[in-house]
Amino acid sequence: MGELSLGSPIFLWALLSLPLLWLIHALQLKLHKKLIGTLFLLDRLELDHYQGSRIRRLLQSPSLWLQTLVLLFLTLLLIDPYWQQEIRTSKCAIVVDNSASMRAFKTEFQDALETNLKAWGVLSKATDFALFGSTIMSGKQHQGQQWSALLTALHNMPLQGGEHDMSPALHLARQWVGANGCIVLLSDHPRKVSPDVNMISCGHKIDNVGFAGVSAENQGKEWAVEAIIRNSSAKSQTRSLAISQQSPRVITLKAQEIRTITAKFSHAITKAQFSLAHDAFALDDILTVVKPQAKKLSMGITGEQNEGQFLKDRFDLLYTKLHWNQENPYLKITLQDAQLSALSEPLSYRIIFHTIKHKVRPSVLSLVPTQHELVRGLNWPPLGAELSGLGEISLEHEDLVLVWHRSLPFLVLRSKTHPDGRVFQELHINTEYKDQLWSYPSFVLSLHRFVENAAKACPAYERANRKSPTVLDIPVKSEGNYELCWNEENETTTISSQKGWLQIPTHMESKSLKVSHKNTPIAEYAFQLVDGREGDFSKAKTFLSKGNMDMGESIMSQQRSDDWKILIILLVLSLLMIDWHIRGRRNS
Amino acid sequence: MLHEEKQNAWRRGWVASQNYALPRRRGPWRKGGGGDRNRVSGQSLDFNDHRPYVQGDDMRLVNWRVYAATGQMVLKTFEEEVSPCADILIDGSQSMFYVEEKAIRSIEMIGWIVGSCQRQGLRPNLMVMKNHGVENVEFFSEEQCPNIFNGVACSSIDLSHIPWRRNSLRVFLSDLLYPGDPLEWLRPLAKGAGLAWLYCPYDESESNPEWSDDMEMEDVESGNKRRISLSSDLLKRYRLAYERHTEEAESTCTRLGVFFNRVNSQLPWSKVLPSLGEDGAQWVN
Repeated sequence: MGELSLGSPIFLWALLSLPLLWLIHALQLKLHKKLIGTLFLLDRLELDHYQGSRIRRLLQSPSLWLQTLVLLFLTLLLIDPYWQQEIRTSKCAIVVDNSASMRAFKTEFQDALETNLKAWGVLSKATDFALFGSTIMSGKQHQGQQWSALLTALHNMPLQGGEHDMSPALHLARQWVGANGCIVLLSDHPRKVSPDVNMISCGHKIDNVGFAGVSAENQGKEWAVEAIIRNSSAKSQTRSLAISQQSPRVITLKAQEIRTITAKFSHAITKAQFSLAHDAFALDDILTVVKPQAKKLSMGITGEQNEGQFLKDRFDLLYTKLHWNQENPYLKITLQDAQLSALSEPLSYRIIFHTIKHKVRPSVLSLVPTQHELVRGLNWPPLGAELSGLGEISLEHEDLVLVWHRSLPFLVLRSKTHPDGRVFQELHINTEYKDQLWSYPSFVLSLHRFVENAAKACPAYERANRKSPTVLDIPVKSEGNYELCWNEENETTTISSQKGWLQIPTHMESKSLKVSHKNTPIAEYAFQLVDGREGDFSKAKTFLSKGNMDMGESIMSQQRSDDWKILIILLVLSLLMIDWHIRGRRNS
Repeated sequence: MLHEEKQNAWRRGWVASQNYALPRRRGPWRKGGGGDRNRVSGQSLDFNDHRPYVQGDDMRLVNWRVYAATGQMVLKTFEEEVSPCADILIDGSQSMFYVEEKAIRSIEMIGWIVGSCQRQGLRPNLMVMKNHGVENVEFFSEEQCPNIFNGVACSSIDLSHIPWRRNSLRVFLSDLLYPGDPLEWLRPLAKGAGLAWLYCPYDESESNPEWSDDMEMEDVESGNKRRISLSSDLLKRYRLAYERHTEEAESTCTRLGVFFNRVNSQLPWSKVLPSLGEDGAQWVN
């Protein structure tokens, strides 16, 4: 059975305007006076004594009824009613082994899956399918009730992992289907799985020949590429080999043979492709080699014209092509030579170049963090640390000296914490050794890493903080009341959803939250920060997928249509026109 | 209503009398050596016709020459000289003037009646009926018009004390919106009249009102108020009562020999004019 729900029940208060409308009409009600010369004719009619009452005359007022209708229709528009229908479905999670070898058996798996699901009776009833990759990071790939859509998603699924443990993915699938749902594992290797998992294994040995490795070397005017071809089968194999646009030739490899093929290209050619005739496992049949190119770095630069041009020139000289995106930069590089004021602008990430006069004074006594992600693996040979002349520790920010140059911090990562909990990061670069600075490819790579981090973190971070740092927004599928349990306590509070969202006010001291709907847990949140800091609520990680709310066999589906709203608006306009016409006639 | 509007209405009526005259084709006009001739035989020197002798006729009027020639006694008849006069009575009650269209039409009618009488040499005596009395208007002109026709509260009608002249052409302009028996009011109008006309201006807002709500009705004459609960039944009964009242007045006029003519105030003046007489107003060349 379905039930009627209201999108915005708060607007039911608009009905309070009805008594107000009636009161206004009652107060405005007065008897029209008419001067006539035929009163004696009315006297002859032997009329009953006039017994008009306000209520009777109110009830006879068409204007009042029209305006009442208008108010009712407007309230109907505002409360946004919709119909919720309960649909009983079963759930089936299909976990696909993400290893690359599965590519050879895609067709077989589709056929086997369809045959088995038919045999198990899954396809004969309404079933909600979900497709999971076996690596936990790949998550849910598809969800829906259409079988054809599932097959398409299965066909398009990226299969490029290696050997890995499947139990986390199976655990995730079990959470999604609930206790009664069906889990199917597709793999090309026979595996030991728990009894509640249905295993479909279709793998078999294939005769595969493919590329096993590549190396490129700069040889003056040319660059040489060495590609390694391996015959993995137990038999001798013959394949045609093509290099770029050249005509293919036939090569024959003995069982388990590894052969190296060398090709030379001029520097004008930036891309080369080695291709073998396709076999059942096509992933290693094509080898594409790309000559190293400068990366594109999107950023906007503010500051003096000369400084900006200087920076552009230097970046262009090195391995970076600077892509100017002044209008909408995701990272803003600020050229400034003054001491920074704390959190002067709402940017989470920025790079600041310092002159010698206003060099950054690190406030944390720290060793050079060579393992920091920005400098890890990079070569900074002439740089050394001579800790001296450091300033006092500031409470406003923390500095992490990434690279020292002589006695001065050269590359400093400064983190600032806003009173509301937001964390800002700045990369400070000492430009005292401006000329030498640009000769370090590692410096450019560090910049790249910083920019990439900003690009990944900044937009989402900004979004999360911009709205309200003290409210946690959780999307939900069905309207109604949800129970909240804070900090593992027994007491629960109730909150109503608003248009598909739960807006939960949060507190800095809160550490965990469990959200349930009709006593079914749907999500758990633990407020731990990605970088290990404490107190920033907005960067909370979701430990359980919100798909948990689909546990059980019934879901509520909303049937919403806005067509009737247009009709209501037209009706309201018509009623207002009629009312206006009636009042005009009466006044005339 | 503005002063100018009343003057204009009077002027329209007066101008219309140049083309349309008050019908006056029968009636024993008042004798007295006037310059007009009556249809009935009289004592003037102008020969009118012959007619057979009947017993009792004056022997002096027998045409003896015809008798000598034919042996039949034939009388010579002569036209009678009359001096016609007109008594014009205007109902000066408020109900005649409280609706603008009706007031305009009434003043147009007065202009037309007075102008028509003067043009036909009828020596009009204009009287305005006011509450319990009548006011003679000795000299009537366009300038006087707005001051005279303002309307006076008049809750009843009594024509018995009106100084009608014998055998005069009597014209009475009234909406007849009075309670009571029309026979009683109208009898003095017909008694001793040479010819009597009753022009009754009316407005659609009275005969066929479109009241749409409960209302407090105030009588324009007496100021009495009455609240009514409006219903379609009430409207229907009111319209019927109005119709009966008018029919009663008309049948009374027919009975008394008074020509009755209702004048619609909503119609244009040019369309009303041709229908003002018994068979249409007389055309004056």
